[in-house]
Amino acid sequence: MTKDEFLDIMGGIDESIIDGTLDISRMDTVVIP
Amino acid sequence: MEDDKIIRLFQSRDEMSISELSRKYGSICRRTAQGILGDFTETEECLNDTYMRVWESIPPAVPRSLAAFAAAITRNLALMRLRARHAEKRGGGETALSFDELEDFVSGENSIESEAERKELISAVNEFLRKLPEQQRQVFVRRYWGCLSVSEVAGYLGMTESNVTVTLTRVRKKLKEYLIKRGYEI
Repeated sequence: MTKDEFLDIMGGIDESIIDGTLDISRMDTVVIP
Repeated sequence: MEDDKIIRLFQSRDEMSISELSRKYGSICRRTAQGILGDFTETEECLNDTYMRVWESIPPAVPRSLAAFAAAITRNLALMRLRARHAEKRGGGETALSFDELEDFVSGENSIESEAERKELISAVNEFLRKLPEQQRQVFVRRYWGCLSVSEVAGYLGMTESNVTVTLTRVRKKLKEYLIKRGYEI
């Protein structure tokens, strides 16, 4: 596997993991340090 | 506006859907693109591409999380732009983002031969990530999905850079073992 293939695989991970992990629905209200 | 109402606007081909998407999640998408591209003009172009891609995708897609759906499209389009920029400057090669630590994780040889194999791998990685302890998942996803630097991940999560680096090393090792055990060559 190449690094780009790995990043592509990561780009396909489930929306629920992205949403849950990054708490993305509430990111607008998060103060970024 | 609620996500399901925005999705219904997309489904009924109402162009207000794009302005509502931009109003609600434009800043998330902008931050995602900016973090990868680091260039204002390209970020804005990437955002426009994102809105068009969402327009083309819904229907038939029905996102469970509109924010994650749009951010994922932005992330992938931004990486494609970065690779194109890098290829133009260097005459080919991998992404310009620095992921030196992956040298020990991947073989460096193309190994994904079909869309079916790609989907299987994504499914295996999803399963692996769901089983990870919360903090390890946060670190891993922010680094390799969000493409944040180690210091940015540390800042977001209130960890030291050293802790982030150690966590990433452990999770990469676990993921490699997990995938090899399931017959994948990485």
